[in-house]
Amino acid sequence: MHVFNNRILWLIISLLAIVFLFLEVNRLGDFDIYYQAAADLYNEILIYDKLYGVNGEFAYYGSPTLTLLMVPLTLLPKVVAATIWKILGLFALVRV
Amino acid sequence: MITFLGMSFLLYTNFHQLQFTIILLYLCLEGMHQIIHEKRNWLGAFLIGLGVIAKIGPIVFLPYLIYRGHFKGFLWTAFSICVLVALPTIVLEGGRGSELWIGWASHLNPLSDLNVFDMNNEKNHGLSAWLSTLFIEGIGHSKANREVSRHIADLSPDSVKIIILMARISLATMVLYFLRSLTFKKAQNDQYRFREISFLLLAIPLLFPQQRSYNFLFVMPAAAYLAYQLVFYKPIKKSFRIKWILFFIAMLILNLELLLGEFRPYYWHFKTLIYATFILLFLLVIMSPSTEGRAQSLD
Repeated sequence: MHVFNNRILWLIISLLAIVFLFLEVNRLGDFDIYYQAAADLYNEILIYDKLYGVNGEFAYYGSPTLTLLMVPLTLLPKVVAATIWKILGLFALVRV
Repeated sequence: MITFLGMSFLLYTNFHQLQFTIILLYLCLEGMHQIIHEKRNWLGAFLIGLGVIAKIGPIVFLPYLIYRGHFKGFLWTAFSICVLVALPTIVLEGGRGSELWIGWASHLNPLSDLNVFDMNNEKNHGLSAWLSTLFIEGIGHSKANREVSRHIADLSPDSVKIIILMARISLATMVLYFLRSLTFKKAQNDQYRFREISFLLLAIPLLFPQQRSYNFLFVMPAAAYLAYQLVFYKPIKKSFRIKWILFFIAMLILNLELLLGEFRPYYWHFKTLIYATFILLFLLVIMSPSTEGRAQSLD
């Protein structure tokens, strides 16, 4: 019964994850800020003097190392990079 | 299942906004697991170091590792942090790495008014933001500001700074209540250890500035610990029903934005998430691992 319940739970979570990835495929959220900051870092723009977000209202709080580690993702189109980010998040959730 | 349902809104907002908190939570838990259980100090240290370097919060684990006598884990974590700090300086040319760190540190300066009062964004929910709204009239730009008053006293900014500092110190020293045993001794068993780690994670969104709703996902291990205690060790005390009710109220508050989203500006206005976190903290304090748990010692 316990295994059965776990299987149902995992099935529900997997279905939700697939629906989430499909419905929100074009949504970038705050990832857009990290992506933009990483691209700026690559282009030698001072990321902590600039404001980010759709209306340019947010200061960037990510650390230089985090931003540097995200630079390879900027070689991919935003939507693809964001999807990889979402999958990483889902992996983290499963592990947690 | 209870934890998963209770965390619905926090999980939703994390994924909807493509936030980093769930990955950070994984880095903390996996890192501690690798150090404590698998004895892979280098791997656990690297994961925690990555968490610290990404967002400063997981730094709370460094004193914990020393207190619990995981010296190798601590040294490896400190080493990982140093390497990761040096990385931009090594990779980027012309002193840009140092320049970036200075820029980052100036943003996070804990002494600047912006970070002490933490009210540059109405969605901030941390301890500083909450105390600022309680003791400074009209602080912040809440949409609900003009309609409903939220301050209980109007103190000078300097007095509020002292209150915030005292509150942070009190919360930090609370960890001693959870540790209890003498320094350099390992936790009694896995349940005690998980409770300690849950407290440290729960303290992160309270202690640090710029904490939005998605950062409160750090309460997830505390909710899991409490749910486990409530479900599996039920009938011991009369207060059991009250504990369940308090737990339910905390879960309800955490999910208000999902259940009744149209009142969202009021939840931000009154910093409701902090009340749910306080309830979970209170339950964490009063619900020590059960006697059955003590028999399961793995040390």
